[in-house]
Amino acid sequence: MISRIPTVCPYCAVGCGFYLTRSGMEYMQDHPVNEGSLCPKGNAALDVLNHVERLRYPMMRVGGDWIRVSWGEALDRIAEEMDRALRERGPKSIAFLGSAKCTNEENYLFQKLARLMGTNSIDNSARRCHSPTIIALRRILGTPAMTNPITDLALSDCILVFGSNLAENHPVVARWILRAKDRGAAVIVADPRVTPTAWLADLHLQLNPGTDIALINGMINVILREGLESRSFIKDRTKGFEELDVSDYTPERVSSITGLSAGDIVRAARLYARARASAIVYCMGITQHSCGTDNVTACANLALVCGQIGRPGSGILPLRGQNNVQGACDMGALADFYPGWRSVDDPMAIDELRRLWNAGTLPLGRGLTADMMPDADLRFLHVMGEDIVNSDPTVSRRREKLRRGFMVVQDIFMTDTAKLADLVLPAAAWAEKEGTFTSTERRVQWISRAREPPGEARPDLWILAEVAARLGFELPSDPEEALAEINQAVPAYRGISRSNAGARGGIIWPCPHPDHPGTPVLHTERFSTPEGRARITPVHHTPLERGSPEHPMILLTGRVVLHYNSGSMTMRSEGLVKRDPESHVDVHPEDAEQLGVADGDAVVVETEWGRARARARVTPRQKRGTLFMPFHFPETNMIASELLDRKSLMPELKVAACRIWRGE
Amino acid sequence: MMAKIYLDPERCIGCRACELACEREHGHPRISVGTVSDLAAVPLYCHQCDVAPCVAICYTGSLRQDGDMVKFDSDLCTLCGLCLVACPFGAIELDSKIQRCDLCGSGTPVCVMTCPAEALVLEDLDTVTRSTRGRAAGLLAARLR
Amino acid sequence: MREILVRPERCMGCRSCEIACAVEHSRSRDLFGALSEMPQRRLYVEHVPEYSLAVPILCRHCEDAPCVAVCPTGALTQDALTGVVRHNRDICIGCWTCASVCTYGVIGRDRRARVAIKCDRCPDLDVPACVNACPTRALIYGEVEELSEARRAASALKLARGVAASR
Repeated sequence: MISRIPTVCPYCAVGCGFYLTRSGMEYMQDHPVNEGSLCPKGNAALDVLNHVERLRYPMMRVGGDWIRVSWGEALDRIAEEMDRALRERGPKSIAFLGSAKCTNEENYLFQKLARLMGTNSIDNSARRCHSPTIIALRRILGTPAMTNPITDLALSDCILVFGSNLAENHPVVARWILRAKDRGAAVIVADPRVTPTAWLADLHLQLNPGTDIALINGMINVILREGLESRSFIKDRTKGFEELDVSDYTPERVSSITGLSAGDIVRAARLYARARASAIVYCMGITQHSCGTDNVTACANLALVCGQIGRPGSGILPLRGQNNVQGACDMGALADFYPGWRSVDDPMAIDELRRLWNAGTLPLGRGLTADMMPDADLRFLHVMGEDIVNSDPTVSRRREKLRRGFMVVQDIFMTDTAKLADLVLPAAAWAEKEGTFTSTERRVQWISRAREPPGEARPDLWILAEVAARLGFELPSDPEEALAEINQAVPAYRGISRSNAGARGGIIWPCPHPDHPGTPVLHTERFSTPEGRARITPVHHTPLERGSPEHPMILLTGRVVLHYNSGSMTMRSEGLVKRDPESHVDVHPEDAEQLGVADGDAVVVETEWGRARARARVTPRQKRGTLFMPFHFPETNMIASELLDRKSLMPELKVAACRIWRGE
Repeated sequence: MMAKIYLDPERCIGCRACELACEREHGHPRISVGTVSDLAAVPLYCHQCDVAPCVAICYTGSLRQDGDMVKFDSDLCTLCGLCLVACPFGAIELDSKIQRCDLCGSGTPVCVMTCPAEALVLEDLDTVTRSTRGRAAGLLAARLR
Repeated sequence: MREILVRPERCMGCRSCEIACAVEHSRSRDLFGALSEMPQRRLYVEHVPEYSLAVPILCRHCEDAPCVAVCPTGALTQDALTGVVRHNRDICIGCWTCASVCTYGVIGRDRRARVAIKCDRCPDLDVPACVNACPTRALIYGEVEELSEARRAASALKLARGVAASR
């Protein structure tokens, strides 16, 4: 056996490489993205792999107990239940949840299974992180993904960070921003909180929550007034500029909306527009709003007006959350898209897949998104590696409804979602299987099997193939075979193979043929919209009408550096938990004084949606009038908003009107 | 001159990767990140001082200056804990033994290797100050042109 | 309060200041003696290749000096009257925290004593040696207000010339 096996970190979407050794891990200094470095979660990655609570055997619920069953029994039961649901209630009664933690091959086959069973009700956690990015950037630029690789940031002269606390959530990205700063680049961070990311800023725009569009339109207003736009770019590469009217967004008016000084708005606009290469980095502070799609659109407008896209160091970089969230979406594990970003409403595009899959018909029209599943009276729900109950507030509040039908969960731990299931299957974790992951920068990397799965745990791919076989379909259980089929189904992945994705640093899609070196920078010559031009699309600020006398403050949610999403992984890592053990709510010192809340007090936070208990943390990091709670703890999601962005069905997880008081 | 760990406090993002890496390597973290009012973060660690107070106070000779580094010999140590008191950085701890940085033996220490922000570097002092001066001079020169 | 002020546009990179500094801080206080003592620099003429310029970089004796703030032993102190940041070699432990936080990179390491070495603004001289040695007066010793005043006078002169010419 080789003494060290290269792998890719299972946490966030940066796609850092490291080595697994027989007893531990080693840093990979020649990885192009992380150059050997790892964040605290990456350093603790092995805690999850070796954890005693790993699921080891298939388990069936009988009454209130779990009994161990054989794989044969478990798989037969799935096929039987799915078949029964289909016969009795039709394809509308079944649904699937894919996973941004599973490989491309697994997500591809999972959505294929769903669609062959006649439903588009397949979704993944991208719904709750970047569905607005998918809708907006696909429409405007043609490709819903980061336009430039992360390392490109080192080449930028101005980096505009919107609603991203990357220093905590994607720490390795900070490395490249610091490299740009070493070269003299200006860093602008727009965030209501003084996050560690804001520490890196030359200009911190501490704007009021939900006023991003006003700020961006205000910047465009300054740019047009001062003639800083790129006329030639607008003329040659875009359409729709004439409709863009931002004359109302004077710095003075935007100042009154955003709470920023007019001078700072002008300064940000000049820095961004004048720099040789400017990049916009954004994350969930942009997307998780009821105007999420419009927020993304505004970011794209700014870049297009200035021609700051399609060159090294110049582009739009939505930082995605999970190690394979980009891939899960590319593979079509979404209720509104088939593989290769084919819309579920476009029969022509789908017909290609129908022929490839030898299918009679394929379902059209959007299926159920995760939020809709509890109320949909499902008879069968198959969850692959998602802790939906802890990550989606809407589902969380309706968790009992999930139990109305037969529910299968395959996961590595007994998550709160798995606890509701009728059948729980032990899955292999990332280092115990093979396949490809696509990081946020479209980098596709092959991971090798470095460990044996515990007990009878099996790769998700094997489970899917076995279920499909029992339903009369043949799906490949070998990741290379599955990848070969993806080559046919997803144009951007046409040339991706085990050999190029398995090389150090993998390969960045689009990769149209096997000898292609990959495409780090998108849109260099033309945009991938049908007409080849980017579509500038006017969007306008609508005030957050959330405040009320009962709920005068605004609750913000987000992540902290030591935990990850629903916590099913990090909460099982001793080194991380002891450093950040419990839910907390950040309060500005002056608010705290007014409210009579001291550091460490037990407090209750109430929103329209519920109440949560937490410990107060008094900190100047917080903006006055706002609170912050990390969403890794179930309490936070119990009070998060259910309002949706109608264009992308993204729930407004980022903000909610709230109040806080001292008490248990 | 031999290389030591130097910190660029402007770069630290307070992520604590160094703590986790050190803990994995040595079983007990010998570096700890402190945040100041949530507005800045500083890793505290052994500086391998050139005229080290821990060496000066150690009466058994288990701590001694060796070249540019402070070396520790556990056989001579009586666990008296005086070095803990003497260290201005609180970088020595005592559980069942003395826990202090040994620069991970040879090669690059894991805290330096893992730091995403390149806030910790293994360099000699001249290289560090030269690059700082270069940056300062560059800024001035850019203004002149 | 007098400071060593830098007018970088006048520096031609001759390094006279570096030599004068070394001589002043040598035991023999003459050039040949200083050479044999292997002098260490306390100020640095930095060449910036991108701009083909030389810039003197020296301790600014900052008003709110980071090196003084972080020094764990109190070896670095600031004189309340003169603003000079002084270094006490006897209690320095050579931890180099000061060097890490100095934005100018002007705290060095004494090879023999293994402690910090930095500009002391020549306590025995009325005008620091580097300033005395500078042939182009890129380094001057004076008050910030004086420098500003001189700059104001220069621009007023320019303006007056223009006005006079247009009459």
